[in-house]
Amino acid sequence: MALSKEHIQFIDKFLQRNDVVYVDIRAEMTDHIATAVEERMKHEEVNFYDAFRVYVTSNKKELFRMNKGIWWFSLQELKIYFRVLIRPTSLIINVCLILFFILLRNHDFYLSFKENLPFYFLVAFLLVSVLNVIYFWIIRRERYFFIERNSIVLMILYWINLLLLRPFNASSSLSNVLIIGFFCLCVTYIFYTIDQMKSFLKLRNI
Amino acid sequence: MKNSQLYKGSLNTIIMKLLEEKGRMYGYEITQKVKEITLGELNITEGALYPALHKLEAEGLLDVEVEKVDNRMRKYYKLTEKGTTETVNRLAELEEFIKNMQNIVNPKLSY
Repeated sequence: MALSKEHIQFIDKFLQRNDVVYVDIRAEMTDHIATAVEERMKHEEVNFYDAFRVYVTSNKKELFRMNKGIWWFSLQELKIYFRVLIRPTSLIINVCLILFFILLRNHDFYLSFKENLPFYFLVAFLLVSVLNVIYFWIIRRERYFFIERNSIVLMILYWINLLLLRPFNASSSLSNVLIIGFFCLCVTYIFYTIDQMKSFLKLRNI
Repeated sequence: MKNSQLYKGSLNTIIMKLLEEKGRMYGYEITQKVKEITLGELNITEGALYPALHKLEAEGLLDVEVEKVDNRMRKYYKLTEKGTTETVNRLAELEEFIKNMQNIVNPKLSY
């Protein structure tokens, strides 16, 4: 017997009350609990609330392990970003960019770009962060683990910008390598974000 | 999970093998299938299954499909092309492991 909309909402509310804040994690847990409860109702001929109570009592510890330690998956994001970085299209585009900057290294355009890149990045960083907060926290009032775990890549780029790009003498050859390398990482971040958005749109119905 | 230390290292391979056979499966279905095949001997818990599925997904070995089923959303997992190749490798590795264990634990049977 399939559970009603009210039963599903009951499970969802229970998970919310138990600090499962992310919509995508909660949806998967809801389906798991609902299927287990349906099985119990079918085989033991009990009502929803009894089946739910028995299931949660005997599985609570394991169930909430699903919601713990998920920070670890943020580290997995770095692997995904790295896979995008070594993808043939990204490599070709980044090599073209490096050659482009080498050819223009004495041109005014490059000198001004080099000077302003950390600032442009900071503006983009703030824009992405604020838009994320406005859209997910204020408009939708929903948090998605899929979206929040991506922020680790942006944070690493932010710290590279803050710690590596600024201290060096702007005229040194090391600063050229760092600036061009950082720009390539930012371009890769755009490809990575497009990939992630495509996957998110596939999952947004959750 | 029963005898967790022994089974833990093989959990990903078990999941991939099931997905190779069935095409696509959702979390609860995987736990029940494993229970059924092992006649209730092996019980994969939620706390072990979902982190393993999410890790395989992040590694690009699994892809997901979401469908609305009975008033809720259900996430189905299936192998990617890379996942299918990796399953063959991991199964071969597991078979080799079982063979070696057999040689160590019960040498007479291995001949």
